[in-house]
Amino acid sequence: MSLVAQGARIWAVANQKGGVAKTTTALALGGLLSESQQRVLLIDLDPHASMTSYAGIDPDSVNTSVYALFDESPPGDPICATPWAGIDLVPAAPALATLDRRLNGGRGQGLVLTRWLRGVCNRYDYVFMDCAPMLGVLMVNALVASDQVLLPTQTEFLSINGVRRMARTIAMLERSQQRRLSWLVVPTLYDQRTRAATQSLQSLRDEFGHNIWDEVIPVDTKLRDASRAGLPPSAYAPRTRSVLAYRKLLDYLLASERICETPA
Amino acid sequence: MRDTGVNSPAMADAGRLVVQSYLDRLLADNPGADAEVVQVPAPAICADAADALTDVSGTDTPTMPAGDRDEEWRAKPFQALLFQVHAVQFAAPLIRLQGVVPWSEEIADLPETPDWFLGLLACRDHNVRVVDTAKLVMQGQKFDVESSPGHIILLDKGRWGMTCDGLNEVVNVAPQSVQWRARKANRPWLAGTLREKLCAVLDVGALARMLERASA
Repeated sequence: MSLVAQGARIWAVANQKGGVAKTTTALALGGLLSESQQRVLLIDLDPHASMTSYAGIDPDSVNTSVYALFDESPPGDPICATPWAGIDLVPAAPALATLDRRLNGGRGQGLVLTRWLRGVCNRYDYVFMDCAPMLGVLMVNALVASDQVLLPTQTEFLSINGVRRMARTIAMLERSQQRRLSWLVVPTLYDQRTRAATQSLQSLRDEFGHNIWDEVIPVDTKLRDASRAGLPPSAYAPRTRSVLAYRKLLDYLLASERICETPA
Repeated sequence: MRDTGVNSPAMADAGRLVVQSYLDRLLADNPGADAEVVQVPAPAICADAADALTDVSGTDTPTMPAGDRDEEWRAKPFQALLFQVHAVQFAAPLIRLQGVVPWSEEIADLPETPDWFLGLLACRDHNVRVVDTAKLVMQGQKFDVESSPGHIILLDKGRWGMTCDGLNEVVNVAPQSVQWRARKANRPWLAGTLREKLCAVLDVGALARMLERASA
């Protein structure tokens, strides 16, 4: 259970390595949920603002962004509508890159998002936080506020180190907070034709057996086409293999949450 | 991981301390608590204080003034002794130490004591209760470098002594150069992390209290 405690389910999508399909994963799952009439909020915590751009919003000229949550007291309402039905967005702005330096690791700055979400989470069923690939105040905020951390990871050797690093970070956060964080490694961009991918997948399963999803998100050019079209993958190509895989992942996550919520 | 000669357990451990301290601070629930930190420029390293500290023979053991100075030393620049255990460097505020003695005398073992408690060392006119620093504060960790304690650092009016492999230097520390820990439910002996040296700063008062409780 996250510190937000009630209202929306809050999922962070994070990895300290870049290029592992974090944004795609958040958009794919968010898109699928919105199709089943769930109200979805996406929060773009990456100064590169890929998710914001994906939604057709220019991060260089947004009126408000995640930055406002850390800069204004009380924080404003940085939520924007997107072109996609049932999905709202808190956009990113390039200024987010300066946040760590400005806040200088100040006390309590890791709980800003948690406090803000307490005020808005009743308006949504699911919140997805798309993290930048670096440990900093934004990622800490996301991990602390979340019910579930998804760790997309490319099935290649260097990505395994990224997952190890994330596992260490999560363990430290658990020590700081004295609570357990639920996290799941999601193998992405899997190309079964390459030996490197199959070997890396096996290594991931050997090392993170209890925390890794049993299946994979395959590499799929339709995902790139969806981003070019500015549509969530499920809206662009609902029957493509990667979307079908994301649907399986969503079913798994929802089933896991139901099991966790069942009284003993 | 391939050994390229640029990795060391000390750096890995210090790195973890830095990150843990950063996280502890971000997740502290009293955001306004930083305001009173004194902002002063970091002074230059004071080299010869180490020599004075390592030889306490023939000198009076410094005594603590009345009152609890646990928090006072953090608020202004202080001198810290850098020492190492298993090649991992620590910093201890000089004002909270009573001296350092070479470990040349035999330590008298006591029955039915924890494994971190080494025994009693006769030091001048009283016995110092000596603890194995590695076993006390680095439990469960694996090290590439064996510990070979050569000195005992005296604290808490000389009632306790902690082993160390070597003394590195004494440095002047500005409060803002330390990443202070906000909450210390775990590892109360860890006051924070000295950023420049990537080493743990000991809260000697908390450590002494922890030892007193453990030995009660």
